Amino acid sequence: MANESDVIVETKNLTKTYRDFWGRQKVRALKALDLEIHRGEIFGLLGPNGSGKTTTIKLMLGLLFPTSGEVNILGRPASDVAKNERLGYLPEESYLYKFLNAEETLDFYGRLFDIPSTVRRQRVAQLISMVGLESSKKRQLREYSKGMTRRIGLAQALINDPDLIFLDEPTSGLDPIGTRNMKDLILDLKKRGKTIIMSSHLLGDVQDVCDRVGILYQGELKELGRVEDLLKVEKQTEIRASGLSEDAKKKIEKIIADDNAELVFCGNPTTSLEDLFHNIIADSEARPGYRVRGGEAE
Amino acid sequence: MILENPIPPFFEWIGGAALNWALSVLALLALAFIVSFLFLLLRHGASQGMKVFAACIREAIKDVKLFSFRRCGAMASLAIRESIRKKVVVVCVVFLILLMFAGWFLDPNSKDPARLCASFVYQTTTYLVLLLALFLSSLSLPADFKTKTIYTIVTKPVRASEIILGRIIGVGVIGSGVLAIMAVCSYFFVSNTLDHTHVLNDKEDLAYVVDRDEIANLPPETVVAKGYTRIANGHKHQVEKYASGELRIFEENGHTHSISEVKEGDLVRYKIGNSQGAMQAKSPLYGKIKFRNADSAERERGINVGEEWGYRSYIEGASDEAIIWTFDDVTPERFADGLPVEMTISVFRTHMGNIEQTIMGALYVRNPVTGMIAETHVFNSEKYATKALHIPREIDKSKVKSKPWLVKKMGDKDSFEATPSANLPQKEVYDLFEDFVVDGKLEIWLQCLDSQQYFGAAEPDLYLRGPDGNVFFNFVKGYLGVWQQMLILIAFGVLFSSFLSGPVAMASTFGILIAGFCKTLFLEIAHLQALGGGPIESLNRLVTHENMMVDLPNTVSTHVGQGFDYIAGGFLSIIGLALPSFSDFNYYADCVANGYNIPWNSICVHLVTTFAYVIPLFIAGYVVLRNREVAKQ
Repeated sequence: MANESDVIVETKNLTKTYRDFWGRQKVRALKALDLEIHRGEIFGLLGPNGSGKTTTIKLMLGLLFPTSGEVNILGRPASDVAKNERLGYLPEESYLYKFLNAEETLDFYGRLFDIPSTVRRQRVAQLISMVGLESSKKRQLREYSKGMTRRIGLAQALINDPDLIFLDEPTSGLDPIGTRNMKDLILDLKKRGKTIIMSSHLLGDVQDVCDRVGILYQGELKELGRVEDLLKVEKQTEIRASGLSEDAKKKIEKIIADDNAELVFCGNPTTSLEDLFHNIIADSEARPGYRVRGGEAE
Repeated sequence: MILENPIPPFFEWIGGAALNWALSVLALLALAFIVSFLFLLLRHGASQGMKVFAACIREAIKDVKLFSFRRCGAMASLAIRESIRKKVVVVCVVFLILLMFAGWFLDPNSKDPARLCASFVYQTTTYLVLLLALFLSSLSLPADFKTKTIYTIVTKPVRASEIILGRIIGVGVIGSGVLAIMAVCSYFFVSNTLDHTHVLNDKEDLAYVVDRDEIANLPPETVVAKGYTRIANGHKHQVEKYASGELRIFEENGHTHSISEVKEGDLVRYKIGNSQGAMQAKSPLYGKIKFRNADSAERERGINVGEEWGYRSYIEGASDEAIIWTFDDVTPERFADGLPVEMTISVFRTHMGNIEQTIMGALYVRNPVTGMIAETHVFNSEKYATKALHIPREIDKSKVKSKPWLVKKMGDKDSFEATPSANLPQKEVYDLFEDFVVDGKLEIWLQCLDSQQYFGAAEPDLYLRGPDGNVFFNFVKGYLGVWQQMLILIAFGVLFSSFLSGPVAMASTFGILIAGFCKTLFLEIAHLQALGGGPIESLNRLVTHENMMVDLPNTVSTHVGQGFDYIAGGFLSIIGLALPSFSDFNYYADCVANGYNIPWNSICVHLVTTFAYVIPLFIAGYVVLRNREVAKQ
């Protein structure tokens, strides 16, 4: 368990109620959220649309003011602008200035951090290379595809080499390769000691990268914990083996039966569609002309 | 030039103005503090409300301490880039097209083409630049909210003050750039429109009035030939040739030309140069006006001849009445060759008399201490005709009155009571500065000499003309007025855009612009001085078709309406007094159009006024944005 000083984000009884012009309550988007996020972890906020994920992130960033309760980010209140020095944010949609090109965009955001021009130039080049936009860096963002915009959005979130990164639906709008790259990047950022808070309703993505998740539903935190703990099916046991003969399988089934246990499944495991897709792409790049029909290589 | 509201000397004005400004801003701040404190108390309860309020104050202090000009510069450069990429240059193209076709609408036969052209370019520029400022300032920030790009800004360490000031500076820089381009184009347009020459052919246009063989025997100043140039730009000039061979071309439409004679054997050609003096930058030195009435007492105003417009005041002819201007800083260093005087006076005839005949007047210089007075000019005057006279440095004793001319002192500090002395200096020739000027002070008196006729004048109607300023520089200075209006409008636009949607912010800013241009009317309505009464009374008259001049019936509804008008008038009055008077900035264009150098004094006063608006508007914008929930739908 992480100690107290490792808490990088803390919410206490955080509540947000949206009101109309006359002050009447429209909707309670978040109810008494108590949460601690620790340094170096990837934390996922899960939930269906309208569950309060984005509201939580906006409250943490100071884009919304809490109706009650408090948020502390990096030891400062969310309303303190100084917290933003060590923070990166990729919004749900990449809200960027379409009349700027990639280089100008990153340079502009770099200037907002008072980064000296020589350092800024280097960092802009590194980030453009990292998100693979070297060939399009002089094109205005209005000409970018959604995936490209997403990538430049991520680059702007990293311009200040932040300690804490908020990613709101980071894989939204990305193709499978982009999604995989994004997930690899998130894991890489974690390796570099960054703390990441991401929200998503794509459960597979969250499962792949997050250390801990909180599940929100109708503004309430329904579940909080480590991913493997939450996904663990306590009453089942999984055995994986390769090259097992039919006899051996029968012996195992007999052992299970002797133990008065029930065999749930015994057969060949399936890979994920995402892994299959990536394998095909990787093979196609390695062996031009290689084609697959119904799972059989031609 | 008419100056109904003369601009006070900067150093006399700044103390009181700064104090008033500071008190107003402090009052507004105090009001804002009290309202927000009460709001927080109501919303959070006593202890929590106090805590939140204290936190807000702490954050505000931190915002001031940690303000970064670099980040502000980044925000400004973003606004500049946005404007350029969104094709703001279109405004310049529209302006150039207007200039290209301006010739269709400007009267080529105008008596004052310089005023016509200058007024046209200044007005066009003002409208275009203010519209540009209106759009850019009021739509930029709401667009960021609409597209949510503001999310990526406020999650960086950017303070609300940097966002607001960055927008103001960015839009200001763009507006200034556009204005600079327009200023240069306008100057070339005006110069090109005014530039012209004339043709003058010997014998055909210039007829000899003496026998050419006798010219050599005539005194050099004798006119030997007279005529007119050919018409160009809708006018022609009278030309005279003297026995000395010198040529003189007379002023027409406010300008003249150089002229020279070129002889090729027996053939004489005249070469007329480009127009000179079509545009001027005269530097007037104004004096303080007062009136001496028939019983020799000084008065602030003269006679009212019944004109509705009380700008000018009158004196009666053939009486002891006089209009007196007292000038300061009249030194030999400034006016080594005497005093160039220009005046534009009004003439009021109680009987037409001979309409062809002008009214006679006399101009005097007077020592404000000894009362010694000398008549320098007797002249004919036409109504509103500008007359240029030159008071020589040496004044012959025949012009000097033997007895001092006394006045009974008016109770102000600038009034002098002459102490008549029997020992007035007796000289053949009097020196203007030695004998009439005391500590740089000099009085110039104007009298009407025709019985039952009147001269009228206001303070700026007579002035001493100092060395002219540079015409191009003065023309550019004229655009400072547009620039200052633009800055104020931008500050309003950015303030409104910090809490209103784009179209509403634009409409509000436009409302400020219109109300600012009609500030006088606004205040008249607020003070219930407008014909037809206040808003409710006017509505009542509209509905009941009641004439504006008649009293409304003495009913309860009338009194209720008037009572409402009285209360509303109080609020409107506060708003009206706080409104910027955009029309005051037209002073610059008026100066250039009328050929006057724009004094630095007025530039300083208006510049300080501009920033007196921009600074509180910026602070208000910061407070609003700082306390706005950026992501609130």
